[in-house]
Amino acid sequence: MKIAGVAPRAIAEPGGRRYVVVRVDTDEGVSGYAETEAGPAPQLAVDQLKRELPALVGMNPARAVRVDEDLRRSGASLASRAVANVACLDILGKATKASVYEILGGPTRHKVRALAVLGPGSDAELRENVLAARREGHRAFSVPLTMPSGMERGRRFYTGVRATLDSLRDAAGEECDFVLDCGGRPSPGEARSIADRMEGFHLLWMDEPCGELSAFAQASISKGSATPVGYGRGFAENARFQDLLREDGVDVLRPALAIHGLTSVRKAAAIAETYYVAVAPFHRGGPIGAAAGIQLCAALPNSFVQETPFSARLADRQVRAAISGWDEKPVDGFFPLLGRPGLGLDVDERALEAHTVAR
Amino acid sequence: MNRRDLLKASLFGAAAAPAFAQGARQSSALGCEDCFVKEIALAMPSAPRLRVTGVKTFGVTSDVLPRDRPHVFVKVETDAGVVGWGEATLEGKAAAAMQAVHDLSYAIMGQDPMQVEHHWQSMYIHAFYRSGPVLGSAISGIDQALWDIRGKVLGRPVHELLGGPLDDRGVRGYYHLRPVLPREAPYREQVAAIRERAEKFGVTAFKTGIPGYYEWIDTHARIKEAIERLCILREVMGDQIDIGVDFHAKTSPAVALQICREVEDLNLMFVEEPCPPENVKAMKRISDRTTVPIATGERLITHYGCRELIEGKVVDILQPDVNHVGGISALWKVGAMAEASGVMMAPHACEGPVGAVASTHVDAAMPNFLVQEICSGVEPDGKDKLWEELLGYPAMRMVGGYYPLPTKPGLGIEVDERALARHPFGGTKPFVSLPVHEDGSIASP
Repeated sequence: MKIAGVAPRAIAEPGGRRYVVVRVDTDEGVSGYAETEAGPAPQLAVDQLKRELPALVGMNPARAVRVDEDLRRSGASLASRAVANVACLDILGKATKASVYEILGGPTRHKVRALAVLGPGSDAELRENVLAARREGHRAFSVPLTMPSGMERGRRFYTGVRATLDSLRDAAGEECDFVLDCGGRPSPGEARSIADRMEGFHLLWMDEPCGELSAFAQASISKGSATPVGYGRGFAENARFQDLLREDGVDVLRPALAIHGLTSVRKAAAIAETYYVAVAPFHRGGPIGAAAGIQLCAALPNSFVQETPFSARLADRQVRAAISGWDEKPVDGFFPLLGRPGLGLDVDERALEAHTVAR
Repeated sequence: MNRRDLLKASLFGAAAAPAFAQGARQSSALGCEDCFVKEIALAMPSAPRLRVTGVKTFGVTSDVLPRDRPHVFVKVETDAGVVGWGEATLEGKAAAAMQAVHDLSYAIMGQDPMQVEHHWQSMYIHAFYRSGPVLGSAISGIDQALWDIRGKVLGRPVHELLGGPLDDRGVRGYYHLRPVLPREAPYREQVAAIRERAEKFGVTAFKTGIPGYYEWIDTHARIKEAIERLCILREVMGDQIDIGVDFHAKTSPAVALQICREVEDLNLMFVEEPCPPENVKAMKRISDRTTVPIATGERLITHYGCRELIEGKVVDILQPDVNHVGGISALWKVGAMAEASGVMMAPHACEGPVGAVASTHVDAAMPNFLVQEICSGVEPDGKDKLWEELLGYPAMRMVGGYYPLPTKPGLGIEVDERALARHPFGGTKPFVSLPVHEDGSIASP
């Protein structure tokens, strides 16, 4: 089997979320799909993929590591390598009539914990979104931290963060869990104060509590608090994860599916396993990426949760379902496994076409 | 299984019976005689396409094998008729490894063999007492067999399920520096004759040892002898052939470091096990003070056992053994961990052919793969004939310096059970050499 063609396109949901979907065709009629980030200029992302991915034509998609090595040597971007990896595994799964988690040695579990990523908003809006996501089957929520300007970062800020989370748990119920997504905005010192304030709340973890600083600086939050911390959405290489693990600085690895693909995250997970550290792949895009993450989490021994962006807008959810043939609905906080071959989706080309961003 | 069935299994059961007896006794202590299978099984929405119905072990004893390592093969059977083969050979502990395989079979009996990671985790974590070579070898044998089944069911060689191969020529390998002339021939002549054959067969790398046994501080004469041997080896082999040197943990850091420093100009491929493996800091003392690439890993169990070496950048090359480290699953993970730290992989293989072939599948998919060992000489001998009898082809003989990769699904091999029956298990024997120093104190083999 050989790769015969590659077709990237930028997709936009009605609510504004954008991502790039890539279809990889083979000479045997099997196609694989993958997804990466659109960034601020989706057409630039598509153009880059159109420049780099034709190198795939003629390659054997069953050899995902070989394909990745060839792309790496050609100087291809991480996004291109990531989509090539996911699409190759999708193709291999379809060709062998196995789900991707089975190709990867799984499943290790019969369901995958779900994390609904909420957008920013006032306390009232967050509360509404938590309840909406809860109605859709979610029991865990990633809540964005709202950072005030410098002068306001006093005691009121720290107590306010705790009060917001307390109110969300009151609304959602004791059985619900939360990630505090700091987005890398606090300084390490501020992050330690937040972490300290959140002890006893039992956050699942604080995500990106500070920016991409040295491993030593990033590890300082973990060393000063019992609140678990997650890092890695921007890490390009697994060596960065290894450095942070060496520093005892991370409790949850957050490799981004859009820049790592599946094989690289699997390798990061192997490193993390020996430190007794969990993996929660980072994903803020569309349903194809979410499905890839669920496939991966189903195969890893140390995955904890797969996040997906949650939109309270029904129209967004309908578009995602139309594209993927999958409603992304968890049951009591867990995604059922996608057991069909490949990524387990039935991607609708017409739906993709209908929501492609015009040039 | 109730108590009556348990008794029947103990009295009349075949190879798998002891496993059920062990498992039932454990679960009985929990107040549930057969619930362990249900507890481990994943609650999948649909029935698996096949289930494990049997686990068998085969011990193979032969005069052509080192006395300490009768081969231990594992056969996993399924209700679909697909079988998988693995290897759990453990030097000096053959019977223990076989029994451990049966002890662990509770983890896969009746289960979906495709879920290899789940079963690996169960065998390792539910064992409670993690790690150790007996457990590691037993897991390795079962894990390899499950990967063999996975490949056969999916119709793909294992190396393809791992994303490879990265090199169409196969897997680069090295032989051991075994004499090809009569043993009394001078060392220089032996090496010259080996080089001649290497050039003829396209072999590009060899490994040798250092002579004799060493105390923790040793004499000028012994250290000089080792260095001179290696200098002769490089001189006669020339620059086109890579040379690995296995100190076999016979040396202390103090002795190893003196030798390493004085052979740096030889640009050896690696020095292996310059001291015993338990003390990572001692190993680092050597690697910090020499430019000779330091390798170790054949005695390390699971990826957990390799973490400290990688984390501390203690070695340049890791050499886990697919028959001990935890099979294909664990060898792949060690490779992934090593890759992030720029550590190369040169897996050890000094047991039987099933594990050796399994190792090549992982090698083929590791970007940081360097070279694959096989404990054979450049000229085939009785062991090679035995392996051809067992597998039907000359397994682990290089072509142009590379082990050809099997192309059939799974591990790509078939083990002839009639051939196995011709070499029945003759019991466990101690390690191949039990050396002592001239004063009678124990030396490291």
